[in-house]
Amino acid sequence: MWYWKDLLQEARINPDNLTTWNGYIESAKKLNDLLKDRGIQGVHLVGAAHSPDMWYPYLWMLGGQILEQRDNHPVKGSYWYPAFNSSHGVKALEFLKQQVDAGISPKPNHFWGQEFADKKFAVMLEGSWLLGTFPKSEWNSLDERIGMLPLFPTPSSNVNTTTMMGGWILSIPQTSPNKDLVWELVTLMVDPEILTPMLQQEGYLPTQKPIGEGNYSSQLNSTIPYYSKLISMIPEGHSRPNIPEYPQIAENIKQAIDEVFYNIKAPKQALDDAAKKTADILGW
Amino acid sequence: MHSVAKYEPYLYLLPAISILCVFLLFPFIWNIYISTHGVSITTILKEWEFVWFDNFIQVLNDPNFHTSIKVSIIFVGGSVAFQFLIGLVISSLLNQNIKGKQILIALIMIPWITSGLIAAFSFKFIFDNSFGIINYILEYLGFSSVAWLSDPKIVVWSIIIANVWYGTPFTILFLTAGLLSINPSIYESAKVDGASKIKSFFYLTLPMIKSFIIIDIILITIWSINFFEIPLIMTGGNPLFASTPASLYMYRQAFEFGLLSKGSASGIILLSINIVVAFIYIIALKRRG
Repeated sequence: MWYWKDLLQEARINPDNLTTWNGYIESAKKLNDLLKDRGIQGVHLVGAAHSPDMWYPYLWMLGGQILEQRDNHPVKGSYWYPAFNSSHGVKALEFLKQQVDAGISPKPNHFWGQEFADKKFAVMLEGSWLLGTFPKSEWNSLDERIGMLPLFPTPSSNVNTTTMMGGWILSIPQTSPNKDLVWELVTLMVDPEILTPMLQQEGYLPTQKPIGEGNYSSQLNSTIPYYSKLISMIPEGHSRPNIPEYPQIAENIKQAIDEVFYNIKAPKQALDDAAKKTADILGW
Repeated sequence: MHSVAKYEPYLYLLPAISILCVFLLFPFIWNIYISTHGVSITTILKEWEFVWFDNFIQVLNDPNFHTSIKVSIIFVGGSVAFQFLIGLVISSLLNQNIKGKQILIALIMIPWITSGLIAAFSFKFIFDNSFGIINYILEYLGFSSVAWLSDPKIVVWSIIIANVWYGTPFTILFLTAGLLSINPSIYESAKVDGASKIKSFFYLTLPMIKSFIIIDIILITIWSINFFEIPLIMTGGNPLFASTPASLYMYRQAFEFGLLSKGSASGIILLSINIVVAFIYIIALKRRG
């Protein structure tokens, strides 16, 4: 969670207030009241195609899951079954609804941190790539203007935060005629000597221990602002289901979120409907 | 010798027909083949099961496809109506003796020579709810801002406006060519007979460029039915499929969800719609004389 220190100070908001769901919404209201006439919005709420990605952390922190393994699948024996419509999922979606009810409008366009760097939002939940939207020359002094909390807000202070891991997967197609050459290329691409400068340049976090520890880590720590805070979130990271049906599942969840955003359905109904469609997709 | 001469014209056509077969006929037949088999990103390397019309039934039973057809009707109807009317008015104005006509035509053509992707990205920024220039102007003038890209009732009109901006120059160019083909002496005779400018336009100009109008409307309709870059970039079809025309539905099934057979089936349904629409236009306009 990134915030402009001067704006929070002006609104007399203690950044710690942003760490809980209630405090986050109250702060957003205060910031909107103070800043809306200046074209600045309090907090950012993603309404773009990947809105489920920004909902999952709330689901996970409550103990919920997107999918769970179940037996007795008609074809596969044991396979994935939708679990996102649990009471945890409903509570997580209610938090998004509370934000909309508090006057925070979901944003259909997402500029990946540029909107924050342009000071159009006082607070934004965004990945470490947000740093790349600031000139490198400002990185050393960024901490004077921008605050960072390594968390998604939680229902209360005794609930642990979670976050979502993203990135890319390098794979070799079964039909590749030159698998050895591809393997060599992949090995070169992820070589710490080659990958570390790229991470350093873009503000991305290391995805392998040899870079996350030792000399390479010190190199990143000395360049990427807030590095140790960013790294502290890795153990809290969860990932999305790595199955071929996932894009369709995400589409169903996205539809459920939109139905709640636009007051078409209550969170439980929207998630139950999405889960039914998801069960069909998964062959149940 | 005589038989060679008989077939000679067909030999000249052979290169063009070969290209059409490779790039049009073969993909079409291949598409039909895929649509009747169970092919997805996960089964592409396995044996493809013949599933008869299952994919077509799935598409036709999908509520999101029904929504996308409704969106297509509004998108195509709005786009064609505004593109044609605006194009007709501007081409008629350009047909008058005005100074700097060639420069005006060149300027008007700019959207047509712009890439559809660039147009879509430009309108995405123009219509942005928070930072777009349209809402900035509205707020500056004291009006409330409009959720151009996130209100399910408004979003389709935002993509229509973008498509009209992008597509109207073609109609202008095409109808201008039609207007230039009319012999000016006809208007002089009509004037002598006492016809007003408006009467001349409706009873002389429009009938004389009828063939241009038919072709223009058929083309812009088919292009609008198939066009999906603008909604894909501007909204991704969101929110709630309110800006997902059938063409974007097809694209997403095949390339976003990896359901290649379902995508192919939607493509064939879309092609059938194109053919039906083209026939309706031709028959309707022929009946009108």
